[in-house]
Amino acid sequence: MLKISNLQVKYGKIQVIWGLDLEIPKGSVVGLLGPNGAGKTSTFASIAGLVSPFEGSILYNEVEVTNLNPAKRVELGISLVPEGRKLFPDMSVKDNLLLGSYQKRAKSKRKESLNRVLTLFPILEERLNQQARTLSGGQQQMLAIGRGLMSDPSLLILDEPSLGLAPIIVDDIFNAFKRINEEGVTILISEQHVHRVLEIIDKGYVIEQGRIALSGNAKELEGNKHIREAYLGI
Amino acid sequence: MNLDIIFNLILLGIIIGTIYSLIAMGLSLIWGVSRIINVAHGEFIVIGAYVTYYMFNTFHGDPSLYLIPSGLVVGLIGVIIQLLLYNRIVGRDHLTSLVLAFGVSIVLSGSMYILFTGNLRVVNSFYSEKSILIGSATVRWGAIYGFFIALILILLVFLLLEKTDIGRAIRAIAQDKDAAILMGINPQRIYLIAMFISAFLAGVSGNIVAVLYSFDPGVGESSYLGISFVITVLAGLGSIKGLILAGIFILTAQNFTSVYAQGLETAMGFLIMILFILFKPTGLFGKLLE
Ligand SMILES: Nc1ncnc2c1ncn2[C@@H]1O[C@H](COP(=O)(O)OP(=O)(O)OP(=O)(O)O)[C@@H](O)[C@H]1O
Ligand SMILES: [Mg+2]
Repeated sequence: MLKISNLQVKYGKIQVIWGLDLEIPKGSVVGLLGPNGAGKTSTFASIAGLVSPFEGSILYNEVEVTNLNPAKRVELGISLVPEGRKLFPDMSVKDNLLLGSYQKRAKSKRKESLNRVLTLFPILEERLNQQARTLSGGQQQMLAIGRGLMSDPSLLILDEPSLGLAPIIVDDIFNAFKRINEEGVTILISEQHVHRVLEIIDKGYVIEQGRIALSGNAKELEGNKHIREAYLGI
Repeated sequence: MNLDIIFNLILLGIIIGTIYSLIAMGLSLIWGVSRIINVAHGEFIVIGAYVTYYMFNTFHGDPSLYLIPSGLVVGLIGVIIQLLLYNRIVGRDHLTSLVLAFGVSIVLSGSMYILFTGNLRVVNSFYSEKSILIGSATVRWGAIYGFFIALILILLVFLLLEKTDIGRAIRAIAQDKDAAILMGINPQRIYLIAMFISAFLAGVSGNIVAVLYSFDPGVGESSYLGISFVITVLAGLGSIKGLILAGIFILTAQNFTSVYAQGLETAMGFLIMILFILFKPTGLFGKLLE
């Protein structure tokens, strides 16, 4: 579904992604794992069109999207739930969700999408008219995921969704990812909590200093010596 | 000071204050959405006043007929200025945009002096000539007219911002541009729409101003820009409720000043603004200026 080849990203003169290759099969859950500053967010920003790589190509369903603007990519079905959520804090929960379905294709399925999100996260239904800033951290993350789903994506990208959340809430959110995936949405997720994410991914890539250090399925990664030492602490 | 006078000053404060809320609304909108302090806003208003003046002198009838045309002409001018100039500098620092907007302001007022001369103009109609008595206050029909037009337009803008997709997108860009882009919102398009609305409101305000007061090309800067600025700061960016309250508050305060210390009305407005900047820089209800 998504194929990245030789991605290279610079901020000014500083290069942070050095020839990254990554492939996401349709219907799968793929993890991008790595330490702080490795380049996970930069990779996601390139896929969503927020930064333009100076080299490399991104194919989405066989379509070259490398130079499309973010709006076109949303329309094609790519949805990014950004690091730190980036909600609209002074808007209601409902307005946040509706903004997720701003694009034409999503707008026509707005009712269905809203139902889907509220079924997935019933707590949001009780809070529809509250300002987003008044939600707890977990609820805010649910809202960010829900807003991402409102665009009716076929690829949902989640950038460190468990950041700063209590373990019980992380369980809820990871369960939601499983359900979203069962509904046919392909997922790309980045995490620092490697052991959590290994439970849900079909395949994982480890990114270090802007390069893919290794990749494999969950079993292979779990058994890998480097992963065990650097990420799992065992 | 007896109760009658107090009543009159407050009543006029509410009526004229609401009109000034409308006058300030366009400035506040562009400031909040594009982060540009459009100091040409005063000239936008005066252009609207001239459109009404010339259409009234040509076609006669009721000046309210020229309300929408004034809004549309200025709206179009705003769109052109946005496309040619402002779109190039959105996102830059305030100084860059201020200098550019000052340039626009000077070019517009200069052009008006050339095209329309510096003679004071008035639109003589029922609105400026006839008054009604509310309690013991004599209120010109033009003020009543302006008050209701302002109320209706403020309400329409409120509904647009709160209840429509475009309105949500405008608020989203104002609150967090990066997140808005992620939703598939095109900022340039939103800046353009916001500018059209802002300039339209200025043009409509120009119609009201023409019906109420005399004007020349210089009043945009001298009479309308400063107070729009004061009201915007007092209201806080992003709050329509704040805008109405600030308009009424400032105009009422100025009314009282004109009784106690005539000539210091303008200074009073700025004094209140400075106090707010010092002690409550987010304004009455603002969220956007930290
Ligand atoms: N806008 C930017 N301008 C300049 N440098 C940046 C920018 N964004 C990220 N970087 C740098 O690029 C490198 C990769 O950052 P990135 O945010 O992609 O990593 P990450 O894997 O998402 O890290 P984290 O786990 O902290 O979120 C870092 O060295 C970071 O300092
Ligand atoms: Mg990151």
